[in-house]
Amino acid sequence: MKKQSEQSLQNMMAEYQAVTGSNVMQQLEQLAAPLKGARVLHINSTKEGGGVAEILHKLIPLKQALGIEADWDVISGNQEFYQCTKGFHNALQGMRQSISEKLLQNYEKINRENEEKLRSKLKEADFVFIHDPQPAPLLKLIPERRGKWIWRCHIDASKPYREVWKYLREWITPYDASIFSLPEFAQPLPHTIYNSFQH
Amino acid sequence: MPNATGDVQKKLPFAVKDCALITIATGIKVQNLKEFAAVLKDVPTGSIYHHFWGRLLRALFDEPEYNNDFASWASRGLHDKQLAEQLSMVIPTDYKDLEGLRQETVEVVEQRLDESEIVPWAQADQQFHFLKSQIVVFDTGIRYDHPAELVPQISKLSTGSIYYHFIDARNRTDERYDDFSSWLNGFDGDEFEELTRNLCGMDPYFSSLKEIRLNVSNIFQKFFAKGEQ
Repeated sequence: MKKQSEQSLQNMMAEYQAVTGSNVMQQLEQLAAPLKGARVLHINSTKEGGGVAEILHKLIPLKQALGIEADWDVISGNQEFYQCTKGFHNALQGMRQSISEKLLQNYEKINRENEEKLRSKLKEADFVFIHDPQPAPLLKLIPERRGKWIWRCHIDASKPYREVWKYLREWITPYDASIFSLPEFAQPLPHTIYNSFQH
Repeated sequence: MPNATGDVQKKLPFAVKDCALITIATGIKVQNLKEFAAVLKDVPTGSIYHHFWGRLLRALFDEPEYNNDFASWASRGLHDKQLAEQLSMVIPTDYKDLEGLRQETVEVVEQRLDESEIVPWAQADQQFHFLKSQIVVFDTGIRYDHPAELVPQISKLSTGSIYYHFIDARNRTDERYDDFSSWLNGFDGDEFEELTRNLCGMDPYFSSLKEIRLNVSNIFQKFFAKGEQ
């Protein structure tokens, strides 16, 4: 994602402050201070449309304005890839899904292709946020990674269709942490699970 | 004596902090009272703390009927009003530490299990999720040199500041003092002894943070108004 000019970022912060007041902005600055200069990379699968893209369009400039070297890349896939990940989405929400071996192989192949394109950035990033299941295999494909990797699940995974969750869990387990929107949406995982909404 | 501004800050300015709680899932959820009792015995004390005190800083859309999460679940999830009332009567400030609070809570739950012919259970979407929290502390940059300066300012403090200096401090320090009292104790002589005593005598558990702020403000105002007479 192209970084906005300093002036544009400053204007954005002033607009935020007009709404939140200065206390909130000072708190954000204090939170960001230890991360100044850190390379933070977000990865998802859609540039426009959908809640994740909406969040990232706002979150990345905010992090940049706070001195974090935030960036956002979007993985690309073919029609079968999106058919497969649509199945994942439905399965995490509890719908019985039959996802063929062929679709799963394509899912992994697309992730390998994207890993080749993004390898240097993924390797060098201090923090990598992987959004939802689409790019989840990237972590295992970068054994030489140096940063902390966080899986951000935007889906209610409280009662997933087990066959699909068993497959996805293999990719997600090695992450350093996960973030679910609510504690009720989470699945047990062997790492720290944060909640984005303070419940 | 530890205080909000650190051990070495006796007579140094009172540093106003603010805070937020980051919620962390323990991954443990239960669906009936027997499971609840078993987990309660082992869950980290941070989870006990979160479910008794954390709600003070949470955005709530209505006035909660019960003052801790366990009681709320007993009512909403298990539909056991009697247990909810009993759990609601467990007052964290009555116990010297979180282990004592845990033991009393377990006692209440086990007694209810002994009385029950059928183990109370919740529907699948009403399970209890054990959570814990991590406090994030912010420095507001505001400093006060003398207790009298606080009088007009306490009512303007954020609820996060009240939580940090009044609730968290009592769990943070061995003496279980709020930060205002710790700071006042750092002044020579007994000038602020009554003020400290009144602050220490406040039980914050049944109050919202706004009510605690009002009470603390009133205590300061009364003390300094008396001094002026």
